[in-house]
Amino acid sequence: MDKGFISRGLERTDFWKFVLWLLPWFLLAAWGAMTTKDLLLHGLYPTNMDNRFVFGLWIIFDLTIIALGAGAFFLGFLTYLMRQRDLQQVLNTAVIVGFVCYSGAIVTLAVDVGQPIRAWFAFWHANVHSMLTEVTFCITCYLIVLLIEYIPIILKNRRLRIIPSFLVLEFNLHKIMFLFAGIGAFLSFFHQGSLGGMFGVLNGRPFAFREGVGIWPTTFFLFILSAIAVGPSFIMLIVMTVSRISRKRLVEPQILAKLGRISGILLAVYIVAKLIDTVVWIFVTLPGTGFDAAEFYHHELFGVWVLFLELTVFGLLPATILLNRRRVQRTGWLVTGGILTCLGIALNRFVVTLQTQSMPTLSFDSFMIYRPSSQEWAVLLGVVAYGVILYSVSFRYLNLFPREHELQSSLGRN
Amino acid sequence: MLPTAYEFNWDLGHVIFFGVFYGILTTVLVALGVATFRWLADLRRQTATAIEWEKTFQDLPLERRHCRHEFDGTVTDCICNHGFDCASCPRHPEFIEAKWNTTAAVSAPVELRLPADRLYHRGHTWVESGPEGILTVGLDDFAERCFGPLDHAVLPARGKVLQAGERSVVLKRGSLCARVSTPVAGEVVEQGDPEHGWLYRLRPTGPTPWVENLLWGSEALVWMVHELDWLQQNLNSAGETPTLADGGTLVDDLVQAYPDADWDRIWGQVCLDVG
Repeated sequence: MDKGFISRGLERTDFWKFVLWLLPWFLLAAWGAMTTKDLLLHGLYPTNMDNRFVFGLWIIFDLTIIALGAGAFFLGFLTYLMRQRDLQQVLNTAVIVGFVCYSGAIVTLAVDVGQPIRAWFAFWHANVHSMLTEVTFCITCYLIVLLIEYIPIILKNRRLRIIPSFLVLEFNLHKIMFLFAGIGAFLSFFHQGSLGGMFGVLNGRPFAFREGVGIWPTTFFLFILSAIAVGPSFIMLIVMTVSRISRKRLVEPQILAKLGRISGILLAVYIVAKLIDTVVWIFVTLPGTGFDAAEFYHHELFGVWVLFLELTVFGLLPATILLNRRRVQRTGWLVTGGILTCLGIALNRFVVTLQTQSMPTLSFDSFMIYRPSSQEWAVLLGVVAYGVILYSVSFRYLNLFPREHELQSSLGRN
Repeated sequence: MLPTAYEFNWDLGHVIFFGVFYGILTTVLVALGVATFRWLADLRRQTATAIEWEKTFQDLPLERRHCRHEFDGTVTDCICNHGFDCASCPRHPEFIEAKWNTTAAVSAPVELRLPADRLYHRGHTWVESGPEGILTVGLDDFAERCFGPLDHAVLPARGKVLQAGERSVVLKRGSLCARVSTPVAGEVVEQGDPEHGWLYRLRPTGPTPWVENLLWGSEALVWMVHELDWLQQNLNSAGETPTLADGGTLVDDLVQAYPDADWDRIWGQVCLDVG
């Protein structure tokens, strides 16, 4: 039915099967959209956030997907600026995943901030002393860059590319793509850092507070490192999932192994940095402010096991797996390493956001916990559904993997 | 946000922060402006055809980009990086020189009409020179058999000036569609009919020798053998019985003979169109 829109030589599932696949995601997206509308119109009362838990599920989700979406800028940086041309095979996916992650994060953030008619205040009445201002500016700019990077991929759709002016536009945009890759890398480095720095400067919350270099606490650098470590892993997992669902070989296996190894090397660096940071925090920073690290780990929900889990099971273990040249050649190890890396970063963002707020900061305070409401889940799931829909449609109608047909044919011949 | 806003202070923090932010925003806008300017300039200069060809050529699978000099045995495993434009290839003169010392084994395993007085384009069209320098363009035998009987053909109107590589002919059969390239630049002087064996006649334009990129003689014959090999592989990958292995006659309507093959892709690649 829609064959005329699908690139020549690419096999895609039947149109109605595709519609059936999209249906549940559309329902989820509709639920999210309706809830978003209500929250924007009537405020955040239905959520379980309050003056203690000002950052809830949405911020944890935002921090996680922005880190996962870091593959877009980092792979762009590696491909265009470090001349790793073989990564071109996954670059389209990285751009779309990055676009989904950043646009999804902005939607969630917009609901969280509320007061949509005053959204422009963030730009016009900017507080230059706030890390959040840097985040707002960088994310907005980077979303524009991602959109510019997405347009050439769309313009190469079978129906669009036969319009000569579109192909000429794509050609001219492609020529300056290295510039956008550079700008994207610059912006992303800074806002990933600012997101971490936002917690590190909270000197009223000793669980999160860190010292650092100049105005930048160590969390600034840890967030950058962790994001560039997890980005390639997430792209690798996405490609493997799509490959599994569509039952097609989309990229050469060594590209996936390369992504895994890049992740492994960066994760190892991150874990070493994180270990040093934790040791300095326990033995220097905390005693300096009159605290003992043990005070933060005697609560039922957040014991020492959380720290242990983050550093070992979701840190050292995947780094060890992905650093091994032979293991990254095997799908099972690659998937295990990738999943553990992604879970590790999600846990880190969870700990930084939620555990920080759960800890009492005053003598009359007590440990508290927060559980998100159904409205908060609805917005989150709506964004996830939007991502799945956008990627699915892109995979069907755009030629995301330049070597797909060639690899599929060689598979058929073997 | 701007010096006009009441919170703005001329201190280092504000200047650095907004300086960097506006610097980036300006760079993005200037880059977009440059891209837009180049886009409009390219459209004005009518370079769309050349750009489309360049993009298409980049997207062609390597198996479709073999150098013509492989066909005459001058080189082996040579992939063209010049859009089949031999004039722009620095090694072309060297290959031409070497060609005279090489004898390629030429044999046609399948009966295909390849008249020796015609020149052949890699997009499966032929060019025949006529009186007063008028050229006749048609589909070669290979393409005709791949396409079979057509439902509809859109041909360039008389008087239209075509650029080399321009997709000037659209052929349709059911849901299949092929966009055929123009082998040489020129002005259309007569419209033909695919059913009668030719597409159009044109008066060539442009100062460059128009035959440079076209194949002829034994070179065209070996190329055709390669094309048959390629077709055979593509029909085999569709799960069909191997064909054409050691000679025989290619059937007139391959689409009908092999209905399960990926004809959408084959048609595209016959015309060097990947879109």
